[in-house]
Amino acid sequence: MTGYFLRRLLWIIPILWLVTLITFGLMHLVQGGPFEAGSGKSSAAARQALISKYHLDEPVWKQYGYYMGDLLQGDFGPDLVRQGDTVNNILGQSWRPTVELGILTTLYASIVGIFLGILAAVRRNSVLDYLSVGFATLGASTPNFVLGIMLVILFAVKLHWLPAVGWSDGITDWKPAVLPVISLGSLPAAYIARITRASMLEVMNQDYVRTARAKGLRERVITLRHIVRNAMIPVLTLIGPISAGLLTGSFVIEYFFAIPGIGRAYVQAILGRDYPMIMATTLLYATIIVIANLIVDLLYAVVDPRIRYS
Amino acid sequence: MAQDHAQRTASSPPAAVATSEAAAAIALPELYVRGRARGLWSDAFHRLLKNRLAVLGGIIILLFTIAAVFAPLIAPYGYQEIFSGHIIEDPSASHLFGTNLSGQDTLSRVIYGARNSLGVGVFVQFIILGIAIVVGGGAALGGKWADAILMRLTDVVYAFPDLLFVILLQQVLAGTRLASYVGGLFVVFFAIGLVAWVNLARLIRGQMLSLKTTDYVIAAEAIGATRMRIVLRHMLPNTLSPVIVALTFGIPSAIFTEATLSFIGIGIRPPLADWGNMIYDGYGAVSATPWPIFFPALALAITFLSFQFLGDGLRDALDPRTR
Amino acid sequence: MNARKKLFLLLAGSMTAMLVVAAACGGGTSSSDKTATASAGGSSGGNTPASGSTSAGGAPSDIAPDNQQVLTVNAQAEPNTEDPQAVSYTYELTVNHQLFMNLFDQDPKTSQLTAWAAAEVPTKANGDIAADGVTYTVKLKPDLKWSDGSSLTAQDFVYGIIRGYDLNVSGKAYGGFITSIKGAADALKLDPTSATYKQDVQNALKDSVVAVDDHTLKLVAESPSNAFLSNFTLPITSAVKQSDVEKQGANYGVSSTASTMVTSGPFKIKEWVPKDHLTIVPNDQYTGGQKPYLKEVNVKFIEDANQAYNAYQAGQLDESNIPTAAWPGIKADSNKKAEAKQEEEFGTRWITVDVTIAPWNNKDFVIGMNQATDREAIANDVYFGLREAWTAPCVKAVLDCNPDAFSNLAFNLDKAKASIAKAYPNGNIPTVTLETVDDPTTKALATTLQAQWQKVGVKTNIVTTDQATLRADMKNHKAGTQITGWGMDYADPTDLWAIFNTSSVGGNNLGFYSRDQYDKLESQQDAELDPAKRKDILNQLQDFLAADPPVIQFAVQLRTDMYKPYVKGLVSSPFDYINYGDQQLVNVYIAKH
Repeated sequence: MTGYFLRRLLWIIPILWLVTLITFGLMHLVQGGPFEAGSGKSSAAARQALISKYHLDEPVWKQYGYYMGDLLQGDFGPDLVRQGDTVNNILGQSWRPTVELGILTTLYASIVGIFLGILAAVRRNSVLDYLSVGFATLGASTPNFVLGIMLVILFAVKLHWLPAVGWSDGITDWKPAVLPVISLGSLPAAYIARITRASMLEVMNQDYVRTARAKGLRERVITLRHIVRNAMIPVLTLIGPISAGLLTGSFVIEYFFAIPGIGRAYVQAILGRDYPMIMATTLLYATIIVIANLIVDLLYAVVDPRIRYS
Repeated sequence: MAQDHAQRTASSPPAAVATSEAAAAIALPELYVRGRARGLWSDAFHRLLKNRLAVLGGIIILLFTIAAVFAPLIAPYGYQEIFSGHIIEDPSASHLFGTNLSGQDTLSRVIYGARNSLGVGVFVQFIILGIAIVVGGGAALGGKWADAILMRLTDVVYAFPDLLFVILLQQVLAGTRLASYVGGLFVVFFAIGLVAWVNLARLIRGQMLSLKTTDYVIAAEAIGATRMRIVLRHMLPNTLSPVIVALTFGIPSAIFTEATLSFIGIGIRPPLADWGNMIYDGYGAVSATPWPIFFPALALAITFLSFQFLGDGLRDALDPRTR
Repeated sequence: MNARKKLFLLLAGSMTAMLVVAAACGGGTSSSDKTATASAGGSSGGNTPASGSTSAGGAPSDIAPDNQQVLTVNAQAEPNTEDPQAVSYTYELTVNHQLFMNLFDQDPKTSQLTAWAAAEVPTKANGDIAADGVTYTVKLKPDLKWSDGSSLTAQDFVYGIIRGYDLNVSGKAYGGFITSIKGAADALKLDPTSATYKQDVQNALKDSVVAVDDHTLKLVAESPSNAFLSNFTLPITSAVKQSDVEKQGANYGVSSTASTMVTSGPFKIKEWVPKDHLTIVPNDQYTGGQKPYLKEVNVKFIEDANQAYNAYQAGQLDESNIPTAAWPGIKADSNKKAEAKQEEEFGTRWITVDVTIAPWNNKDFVIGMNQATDREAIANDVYFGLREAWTAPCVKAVLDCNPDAFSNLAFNLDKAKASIAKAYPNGNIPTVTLETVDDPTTKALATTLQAQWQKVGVKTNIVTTDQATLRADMKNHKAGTQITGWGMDYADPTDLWAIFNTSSVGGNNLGFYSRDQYDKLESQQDAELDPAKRKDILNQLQDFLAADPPVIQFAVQLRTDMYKPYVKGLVSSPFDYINYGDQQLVNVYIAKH
């Protein structure tokens, strides 16, 4: 099994290499270039100078060669939109909000989702069950940006309780984090609640639970020690992919709440044809996803001994 | 097999996770004989009918589909008809859902929007299915090398951040001939479809691999059935039920993705309406009135729930063992 | 010889506006506009920087204590740089104008040139314009200092002005905009990749941009030009400190080094957090004019007008631009209305048409489409009165603008039908394409135009795309139309009329309008120093444009901003950049509240 994971780990390298290759090719297929949007006809000569400075007039495969050369030395290249700045510098500052948002949202979605799921299962077919399932379903059926719009109007514009835009570190000043986290986290929370509830119900019908009950253990002990613990296994393995999804899928929320994170940088980069920035963000995200996948598979092996990798 | 299981559960944004998970949760229906198979399908249908939420979801989807197809007959006005001087009006007798920033009737646009939103949801599934059958089926049946290459390909596509990859593809396709048809709708179809097939391809491969070793396939091989016949007659139909469920969950997921593209301004083009770009346009008026956002968002939510209910129902009906 | 311009960013706005790393000339909507009430919002100070007082003098009586002198405004986008020679967008200029002094500034009320770093504006009368009409002497104020305490001299201006011709620095921005300095045309022809480029640029300009002594500058124009001195209000002609520029190298002006930037204006940068905000604080060494009352100005980078307005209402901003759709509600609410400030900008909105492709290559068709465009309906229904319907491509306040010359283009369906029938007697009018960026207001404009043009039998195909593609499509003759406009850099009409001459084609003139007769008129009017004769030429020029229009003009820019009631001392100027009153920020203070 160690061998398997070692192979998987090594396999990450060609995957990421192919990601760079595909992204590089695709983005050069996009019409227009980074110096197209600039204005002023008089700068035609200057634009040409910039184009040759960044090798944009050379064949794409050559440009790819230059790029990979720099990349292998850890240099993500210059920022073509903010000339003088480097991608390393910009990403160095914008990874934090994205990661903080991702972590906080994962926590929110897990806690709310698991709590609602357990509640619904334990009080099956009660009002509580319907309420929590209903809440979860509604949370999931509203796109996060619509939820964001509603929350901002209510809590920022009307009630003045929370800020409408911005980000701090999410901990020392928690207020700016509340609305983005709820907007982004409600869909995964609903999903976790669904899975938790289903898993709980399945475990509750298992023989060992009946045995425990027959032994006369108190219901609370049975629920906590036998049911919840076992029911959490499939839920826990989900949290990995969900957090990867949240880290890489938060750009609309970043955009909507003007959070200075990577997702926003990516969309701006694509529309501004800022090639090095597109490459860097894609590669960064791909790395997160690939590693998250690997961790999930590892987790599987840990929690479910029946799974054997070869 | 174990490896497939692990891979199938691996990441992607939550909505997409829901799809693969739901599908992965389905075990194979045991359809050995064709005669019994028909009975099994009709059994499944009966089970589905007993699920009230699923039936409700189905009915709503049917109604929306009818509205979409017969939009010109049902909608009170044209989707691009402009009522000068009636800008962002609240709901009234002449405009039941109010009007938008351009002075267009929101109800009519919601109805016409069903065409494009549901259209995206459904057509994207065809693209996904097409790619997934080729890749997943090819991997399962094409021998060791085909399997290795195709599965590594899915690994690579899998490593891309979904939504961002869709945006990149959208930008690439927007420069092609494709963009000149139906307001760029095809660009959206392909951008989403070319990214979202991975889970289904893995599902199909897994199903087919396990079917390969089932008794009836071995039996069919023994009596000399051609490979093509085995695939078409036995393996494809038996892969169908989990695929149907996956596609059902995939529809609202694609609709949401499209709405997100529209919300950041790169979905289908005006004056065409879809619920996503209606929300985006409505956001431009949000400081004045919530109605232009409310109605398309409601349509989106109802659609999402309906497909969710129907998908749940289908899964339960097609595989009675999971509950 | 002619051409100078650089479009100001009229863009504002919406979701996509942010995504669009927009071309300077506004592609999107400007949600900040106005109706002509260029009134000073407060009663304070009144000293413009040009007035030369070096201390705040009598502070306003209602001023709040220093620890409350913090203003939070929105720049609507993050600057790419604050290097004066590389800034180009209004969201860069709004900050840059606080950081670096120019030789001259413009009076907020009269739009006349005022002295800033200069001691006075050269005129023939004061002898600073020589008899040859091309040699200018500019004396600097005494004791000007950099924010690091060192002296600011004429040599620093020479360095800055010549640096503006280094296209490796200014190529994406105003580089090449100022061609009226003697030798500029030669400098602009040099190859920026050559090893001796910098030296060659200097050689080209060494006799026309000269430091006579520490406090005296000599500037030589290529030929007599009305607009010559106005160019020295532009950031590209600011002094920059050579040792600072060389120390930072390629990083000069970007966020990572901004807080160490040596500045000459009333403010300096305290911090710059990418994608979020930057903070400027007073430059204690500033002696170029009145010192600011504010102790700190936070400049946020919120692109979307709705988000900004939300943040304003939630108390996160002291100032906000206004989403178009919010305007009727604000006007109807007296409390909110009191917070709104409006001014007329020196900016117009039009649709550039590609006059080289059908059907726009037929001037009767273009005239007909002008007549088919109901500008009042657009101003009311699309912009809710945040823009003013306007038929002439010049705003009233532009010198010698003659709106009457364009009366033939006014909305009139019958005339429109006649003009279009003249262009296409058989009625086979090709479908026109309207390419727009994808934001709700611009789309509303596009759908409204589509409906209006339908009435004269013209079918319109609306295509939404991003700014980069749009510009590329225009250049490749694929689009045919571009919703844009012109925000004037300075008050001299040359800044406006040169857009339509041949040398602007491909840059600011994406309609490929090229008419020999027009080119001639345009260069004559700039060279004609006699006001009466110039007016006559300008009238001919406008008559020419009315008979063969290069654009479909539809509105005047109005800037409308919300300010919290405690923000006082706002002095508006038609040359404000992003926010009402930002050209004269030194006057602004926070009142007791």
